[in-house]
Amino acid sequence: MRQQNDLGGLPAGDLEIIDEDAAPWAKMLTAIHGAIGSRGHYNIDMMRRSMESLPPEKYNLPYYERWMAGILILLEETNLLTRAEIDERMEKIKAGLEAKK
Amino acid sequence: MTEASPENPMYQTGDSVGIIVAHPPGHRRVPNYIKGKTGVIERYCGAFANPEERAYGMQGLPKRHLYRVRFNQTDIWEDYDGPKADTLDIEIFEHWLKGDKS
Repeated sequence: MRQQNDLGGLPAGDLEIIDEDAAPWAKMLTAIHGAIGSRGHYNIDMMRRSMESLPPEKYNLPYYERWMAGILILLEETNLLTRAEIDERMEKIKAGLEAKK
Repeated sequence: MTEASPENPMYQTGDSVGIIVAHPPGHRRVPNYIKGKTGVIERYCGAFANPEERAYGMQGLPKRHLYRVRFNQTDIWEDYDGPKADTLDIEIFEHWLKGDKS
C-alpha cells in the first residue's frame, strides 16, 4: 500500500513548469521554520512525517501552504503554540488589517 | 542491537541485495516501486541516526548503516524503453535490505 507522498512510478502526465518567486509570507515562513529547527524543537524528518500525515485536501495544497499545515501540527506537538493561540493571533492581525482599510 | 559503526556494515560493495517488501505505517524512507526489487551495493555511505524514528521526535539510535544501492532501470520498470545500461541509485538503510548474509 503506497502512501500519498510515495508517487514514484505513477503516471504523471505533462509537467507544468512554474518559475515564480515565492510570496513574501512564504519567505517569512521559511525563515521561521529554519529558526525553530535550528533551536532543536523539531527536525526535518518530523517535518516530512507531519506533512505526509496531512489529510489529502491539505497534502495537495500548494507547496508553502502544505508546509504551513505541517508546521502547525509540529507547533502544537512540541508545545510551542496551541491552535487557540495561533487562531487568536490571526484574528488580531486580521482585525488590524481591516481597521486600516 | 549493536551500534552501527563504519567498522561493521553487513554488506560490501558489489553484494547483491533485495529490498524488503513491507508496508509498515508511519514515515518510511523506501519508495514503494523499489520494494521486492534486487540491486547491487554501489557503496557504503556510513552510519546515521534512523530518520524513520527521528520523524517521531526520538533520537533514532542506535545508528543504522546506509548504503547506495544500484538498480537496473529495466529491472524496475516492466515497460522501460530507455537504454538497457541505464541504472538508478537509491540510498537505503540496512534494515530494508535482504541478502545472502541476512
